Amino acid sequence: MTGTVSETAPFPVEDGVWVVVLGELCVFTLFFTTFLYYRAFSPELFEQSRALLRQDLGALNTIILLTSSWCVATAVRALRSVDGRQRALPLLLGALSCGVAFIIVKIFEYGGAIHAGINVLTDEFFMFYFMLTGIHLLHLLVGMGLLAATSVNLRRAIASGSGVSEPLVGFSSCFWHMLDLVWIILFPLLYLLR
Amino acid sequence: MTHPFFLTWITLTLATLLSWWLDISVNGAWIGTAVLLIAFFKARLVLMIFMEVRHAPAALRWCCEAWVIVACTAVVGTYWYSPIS
Repeated sequence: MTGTVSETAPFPVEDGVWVVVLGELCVFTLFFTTFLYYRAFSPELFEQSRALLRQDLGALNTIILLTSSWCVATAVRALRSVDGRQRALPLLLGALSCGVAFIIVKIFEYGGAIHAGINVLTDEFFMFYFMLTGIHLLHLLVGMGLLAATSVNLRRAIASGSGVSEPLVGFSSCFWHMLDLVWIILFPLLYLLR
Repeated sequence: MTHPFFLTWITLTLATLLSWWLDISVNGAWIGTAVLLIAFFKARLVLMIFMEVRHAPAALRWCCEAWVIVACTAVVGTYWYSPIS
């Protein structure tokens, strides 16, 4: 799959990608409602534990992921034209750096919690907190692998003058936006809801 | 640079800061609901603008709109659910 597409039409994404993305979104929606259902039975405990979280770090990570999504969307737009490839590569690397920044903030956050004696067994809230953010983090690692593969593919395409793999660009970009989307809901759910 | 992607990024960031600010400085039973509605508004923006679903075929567009509506209703509904009432 090589060649370029028009400046206005959306980047071609295979149907299977949307099955994966919408499927993931439905599974995560089930996780969100399960969390809220359990929360309804012990709201005081959930509120007490929620107050122990660092809202500033949660907000920072939200903005980091939003920025990475902007990088990916702009890179995909640049890839519509052959001369845009040079611009797309630093944008993809920017998104990858945001991924690294997200992980560093998360390690800092987990470290602080564990240092304060909090772990997955502390209570029901923290079981959900570690499970949900952990599952999201695993997805983020997969997303970073996809973005890295796309960057390598693009570098090769620039060097050899061949076309970039459209299915790879379509899948990695949609998967990355899906990660951002899940975090957009997770942030208020875990950090903000009283 | 005022490409829709940049404006979307600004809107998403401001919406994030707004929900954080609401949470720490305003009290009220509606704050939780407001924060959740802002989150689904942000999610829809990512789908429609960043993922370019607004230019996609109608079937995909409706699948995504359906997810936003169903997920938002389920999440806000479960948030309001109270087993003790």
